[in-house]
Amino acid sequence: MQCENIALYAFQKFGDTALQAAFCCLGSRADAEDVAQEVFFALHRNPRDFESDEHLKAYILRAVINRCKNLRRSIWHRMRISLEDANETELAQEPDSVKELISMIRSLPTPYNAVVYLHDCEGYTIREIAEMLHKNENTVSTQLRRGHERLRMDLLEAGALP
Amino acid sequence: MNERDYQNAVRQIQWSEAKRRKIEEILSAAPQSDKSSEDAWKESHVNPRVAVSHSSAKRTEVFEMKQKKSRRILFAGIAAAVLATCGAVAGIAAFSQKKMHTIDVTHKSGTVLHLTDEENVPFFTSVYGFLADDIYNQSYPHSSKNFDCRGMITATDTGWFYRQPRVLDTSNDTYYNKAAACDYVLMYADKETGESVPVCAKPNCKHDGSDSCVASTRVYAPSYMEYHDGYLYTLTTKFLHPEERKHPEMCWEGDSSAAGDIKSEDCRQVLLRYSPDGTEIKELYDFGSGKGVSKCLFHRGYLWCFVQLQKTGEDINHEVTGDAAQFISGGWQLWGYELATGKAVCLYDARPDEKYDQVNNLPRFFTAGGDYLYFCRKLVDWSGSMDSLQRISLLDGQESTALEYPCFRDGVSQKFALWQSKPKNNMIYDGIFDLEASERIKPDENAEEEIETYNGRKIQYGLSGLVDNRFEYQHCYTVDEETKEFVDSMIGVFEIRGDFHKYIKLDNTPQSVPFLMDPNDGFMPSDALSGDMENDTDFMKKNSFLFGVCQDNIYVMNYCDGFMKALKNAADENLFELKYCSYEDLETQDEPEMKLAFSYRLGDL
Repeated sequence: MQCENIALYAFQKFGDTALQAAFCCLGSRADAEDVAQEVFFALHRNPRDFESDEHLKAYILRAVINRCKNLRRSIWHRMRISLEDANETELAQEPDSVKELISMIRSLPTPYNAVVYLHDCEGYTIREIAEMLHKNENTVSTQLRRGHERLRMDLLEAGALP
Repeated sequence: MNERDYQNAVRQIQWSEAKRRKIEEILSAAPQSDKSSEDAWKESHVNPRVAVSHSSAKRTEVFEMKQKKSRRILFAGIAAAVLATCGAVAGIAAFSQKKMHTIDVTHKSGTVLHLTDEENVPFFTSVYGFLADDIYNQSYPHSSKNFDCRGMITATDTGWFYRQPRVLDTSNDTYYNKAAACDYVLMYADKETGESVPVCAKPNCKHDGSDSCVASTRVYAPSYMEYHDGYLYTLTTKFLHPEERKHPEMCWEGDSSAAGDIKSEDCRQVLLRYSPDGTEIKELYDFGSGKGVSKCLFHRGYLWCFVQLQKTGEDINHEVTGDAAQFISGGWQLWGYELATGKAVCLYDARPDEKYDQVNNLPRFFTAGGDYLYFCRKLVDWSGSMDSLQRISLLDGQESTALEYPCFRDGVSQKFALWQSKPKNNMIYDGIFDLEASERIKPDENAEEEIETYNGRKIQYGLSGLVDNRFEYQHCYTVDEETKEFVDSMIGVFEIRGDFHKYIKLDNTPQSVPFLMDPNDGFMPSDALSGDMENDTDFMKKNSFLFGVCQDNIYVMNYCDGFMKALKNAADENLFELKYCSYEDLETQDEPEMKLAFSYRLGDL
């Protein structure tokens, strides 16, 4: 795959996808923007060849998810989340569906969110997700099932499901 | 929210037009250095939160920028050493001294500390027993290493300081590739060029072990070293009667083969500071005789170190634990040497009391975080032993128990303490303690409990317990079921919470004879060698061992060992190689490789 500016091409092609993936892992627009843009900047600094658009997309998504896991793991992030919970101003700007999405994302660990996003939103199969995230297929399958189960329980508790 | 609602909500997350344009603008420029693109973004970004570097990725990039800057400075210094120009212009003054805020605290004991806001400096986290005699002697007595490298390498921003044996002790043509005691040369390996040079700028110095050579350790046998803020520090043994010294590490009583006739009173523990360009060596502090200095680290403006108080006495075996003591400990102390003033304070003094016996009981593991210094303690009374993770507050000097669990091997990093209450193939820790947050973390419930095969062969997990702030590493290998021959060697990388990340393949080639591994315990069967040295002289093997983690790199050591005759004939082999894999490679490459940092043959100098 020949491209003069792979980072720019990747951003134009998969910029929103990267942002959405980061958002689905972190539940914060500001953090998601932070992470997503870093992935493209890193690619800009260290351009590389990709076999296809799909290869490029998989690379971007994997890089985003890895960075999200790093960020979410950090004590800085964990402490800051509690402050954000109290700060309604950021959430107030979001539509209701996104607020609900944020609430859902924050109730799940990052691996579950990543797998649910890749499967439900990007349409990757369990095998593809396993390859992308370097995980066992059974692990991905279990994470997806548990992610869905936990979401279902949250929704039941919230009265959103009968 | 059903699946469709979920998808619709996600699709609403998009870049604003303004931010999209700005990012495209930055990406449209030709790829430049880390700094330029990041600064451009910071200057143009409307979200002030982005200006605050808080992602680990950003920290890494900033760190890398610092590396590049200081790499140039340090290499200039080393180059000066090579040219033996004493007045090297790129000396220590080139290293910027950080301006720190300082707070003064006074303990009830009267101890006064001037604490800076400088956090713990990354230092090597070594694998338990690596290259140490103990692990080999327990399981594989034929291959005692005798060149213990723990604490003998320290990473800088631009390379590594290490000590290299100057001559090989060939007086005993046996299994041992033994470096002559005390005869080491302090070396510096530059990461960018791959070159190694002695840390000595004396004109016309041959680095032959003379006392005038800065790099020579004939006068001072380094027992620990750490690079910090532009200087190399060593905690070392200074022999009062150099002609009698035979052992480089400590003065031990009762072991004539190691220490000769040296008594603890005949040597002193001192703190030395080297200029990295090899122009200067300075004795900063003398801890006095009868003390053995152990682990150390830099934190909050101090060099902290444990000091074991030694007493003259006979060897004893503990009735309960069976631990053999080669000297009787008089307890231990925690000392802090203030870098700014040169004053030393004793922060904590642990002496044996009626309840606890502290024979040879120097705390294991040592790390720091915030206002605390952490260490693992093993208290022994006559009913048995008890491990715990202790911490000492810098603010009031009080010791408290952070965790009443045994820490597994070297399972303490700068951020985590790990232990196994239910060992699962030595792989997954079910106990994780976050030192910064002072809270226990649950392992990932969904973590794969066992990775069973690699290239179709069952994986054996060997040494473990090496952790950094994100990953835990295992030395893994596969064995051919039929021939029992060692086949693959790799590092298994696991996330702290247990998820498998990836493998790093190691270059680990059996030499001359196959490296036979017992699949049950991972060590060579005792009958693998005949024990007849004449017939076994061809035996030699090349091993890789997971060595350490420091400053975003993971290190392995390659070495050859075996019989002297085989080692001497192995002219084409490097007997000692340090390889590393950067975090960036670990993240971005599917099959990351270990790169050579430096190598040498024993006796090269």
